[in-house]
Amino acid sequence: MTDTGSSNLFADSTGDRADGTGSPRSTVARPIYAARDLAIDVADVHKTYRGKIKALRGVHLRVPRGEIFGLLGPNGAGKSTLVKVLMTVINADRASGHMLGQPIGDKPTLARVGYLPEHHRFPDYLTAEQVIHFFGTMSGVDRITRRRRVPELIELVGLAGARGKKVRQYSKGMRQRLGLAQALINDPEVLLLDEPTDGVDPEGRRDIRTLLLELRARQKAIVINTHILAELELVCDRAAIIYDGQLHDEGTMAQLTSFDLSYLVEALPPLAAGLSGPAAEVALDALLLPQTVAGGPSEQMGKAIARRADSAASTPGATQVRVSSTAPDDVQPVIDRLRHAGWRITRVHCQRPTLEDAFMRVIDRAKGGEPPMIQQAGGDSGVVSPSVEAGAADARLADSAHAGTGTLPTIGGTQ
Amino acid sequence: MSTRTPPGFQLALAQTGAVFLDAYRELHARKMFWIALGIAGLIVSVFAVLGINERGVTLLWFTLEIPFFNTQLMSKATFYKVLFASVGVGLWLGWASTILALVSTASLIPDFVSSGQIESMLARPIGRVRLFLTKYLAGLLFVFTQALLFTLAAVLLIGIRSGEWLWPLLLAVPLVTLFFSYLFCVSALVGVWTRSTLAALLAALAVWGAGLAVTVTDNIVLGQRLSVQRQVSFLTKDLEATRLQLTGLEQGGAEREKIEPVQEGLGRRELELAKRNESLETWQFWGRLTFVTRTIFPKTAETKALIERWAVSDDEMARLMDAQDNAGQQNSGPFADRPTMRQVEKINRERSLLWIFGTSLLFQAMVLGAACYVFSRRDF
Repeated sequence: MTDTGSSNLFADSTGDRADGTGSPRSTVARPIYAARDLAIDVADVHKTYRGKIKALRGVHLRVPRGEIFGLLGPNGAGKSTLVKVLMTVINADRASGHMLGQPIGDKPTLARVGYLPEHHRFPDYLTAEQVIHFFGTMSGVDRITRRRRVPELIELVGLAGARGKKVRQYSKGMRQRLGLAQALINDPEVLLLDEPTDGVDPEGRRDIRTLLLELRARQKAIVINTHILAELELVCDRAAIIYDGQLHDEGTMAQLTSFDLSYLVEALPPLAAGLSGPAAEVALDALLLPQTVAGGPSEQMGKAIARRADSAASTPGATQVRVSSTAPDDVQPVIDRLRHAGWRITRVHCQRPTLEDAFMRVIDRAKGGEPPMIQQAGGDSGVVSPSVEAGAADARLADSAHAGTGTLPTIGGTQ
Repeated sequence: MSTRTPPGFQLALAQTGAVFLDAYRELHARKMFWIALGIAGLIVSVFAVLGINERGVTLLWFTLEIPFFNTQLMSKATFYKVLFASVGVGLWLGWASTILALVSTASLIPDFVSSGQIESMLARPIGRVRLFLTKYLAGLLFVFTQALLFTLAAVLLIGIRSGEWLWPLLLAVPLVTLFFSYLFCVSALVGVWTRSTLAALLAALAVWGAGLAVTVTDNIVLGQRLSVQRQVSFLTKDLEATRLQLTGLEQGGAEREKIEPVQEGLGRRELELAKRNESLETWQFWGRLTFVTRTIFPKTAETKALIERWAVSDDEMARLMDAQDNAGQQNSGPFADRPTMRQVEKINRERSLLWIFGTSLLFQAMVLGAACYVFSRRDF
């Protein structure tokens, strides 16, 4: 896809931000929205298929303008059903709320919404241009605008070389790009994407991410359904985890992954000791672990310290120690003790769980019969329920992660 | 505002145009459409090589002597009109082309409502009912295009060939499209309900077949009733004459030997008349039943027959039938005799347009109403 930095394809969204600045949102959760700032504000969405399969059970969703919102959930959780309710593809049993200021189900509003369905199939006898023109007309885009936008969109999604080919000759990735183009033909204020990177190659995924970020900067509200959690982690401001028709957790990426933050310290045993492998691990346990060291750092700080069982250290031969804290002060006694004993520190870094960890944690809790971590019914306060474990430290970590100064969100070690 | 959205009516017009343009492109992409058009071309070429002279029908430079097809019995114009109505519409547009069209369009609605396609369509500022009806009307484009091209080509060829410009034959285009719409609405209902192309096709064929069976049955029952009615009428007259004869004999003081056979004949006739009246009552009962059933079904055959009815006048038709009778034509179809057949045909030609169109359109409205209901309520 081409760079969209200087493109005027997408107008800034009409809604002003509550603070009146119109500036892009920061990566820190901002849970309070003015009603007019919300592109999507639905509550109490219920849907039961054939009278017995409960697909949605009182879901609520609030997405402000200028935000990329991710919907996570296993197959059959109700993600697609929720999006389809918003797009009037499915009739909800019960739902209240608004999209772009109009009641859910209002057809004219859909002229301002873009939608990429999962497993879409466009008429294979049409060319890419014809498909986009067709859906543009159906969305109420006038002919002059279509004539201008269609070539631009084809260029944007990287189909310029195949614009004259019939859709039947397209690969899956090309069809996905075409799907994205048709969803953008009406310059939507709200964009709902169901598995947008399905079948797209890595380069295409990156291009789609770049495009989404630009759309966010232009104050579009974007909702993404995907199974590829890493994709969400890279672009989403907030996400919600749905399981069995209920919203189980919701928050910023930082909030969702704030439950198991830690420092990892990697160290090599003293040269003189000649330790390696299991012997080094035993020596380290004796030095640090609370069950063996009375009055050691763990006890002093009230923080859990553990040697990593898998010990996937980045330095060959090093052993890892995990300190359950994100405060730099908390890790100093551990380092001191190791150094005092002659251990050589090779690496110290903060580690937080991935979105996949957060996802699996919520799913495991839900399967265990635990109630959702957030309330299902939307309140009147205008407050988007944050993850219950959010804290100042998370925000700090999130800030540094999004600023590109650390390796926090992407490094792989999981507990 | 980021994009300019046309106001309501303009938007509806643009969306309808887009759906029709898409349907046209879809037709273009279907091989069946071109096959049907090719066959239509072959049939039209028949009009170019067939003619009529004072001895019979001409095929290129040959003359086939057919007793009741020559310019002594009918004009060139009548010949071509009958040829167009019976072969062009009766066989091609009304049968073969319709079957090809049904096969070709049976998948339109099931494909339209299939997973992957319908989501993109429903997520637009267009109501479900309007979307469905627009798609349905676009589905008629196959037959409309076929009928238009075929009829136009036929009229032009006949005009060039004979100098007779039979523009009224162009009425075949809306009539054939209307006839097809009766069947396509059934296909659409079953298609949206089951999402199965095969089920949609079979349902349309079943309704067509059932409608034809009801029409044929009603015609046969009507023919039987008319035939019995004629017998009753004949017997009644005969009975009256016998009674008069008997009265004359009795008043004239005729001998007993002369009176008795007439009395016996009178008794036999009375018995026969009673039987015929009973039979007439039975046929009248069945006639009412089949007519009501026929009224409920869409009038496929009757709608097609309007082309002949409007193109060939009653006088022309009567002359043609007379000529056939005079030439010794014995064929009376499923009827007892040719007078009965002619009477049934006359009754059918005189059916009111309200009955033909009104009841068929009512059937179509009900079927489409059910289809719209299913489409509106369904989750995709």
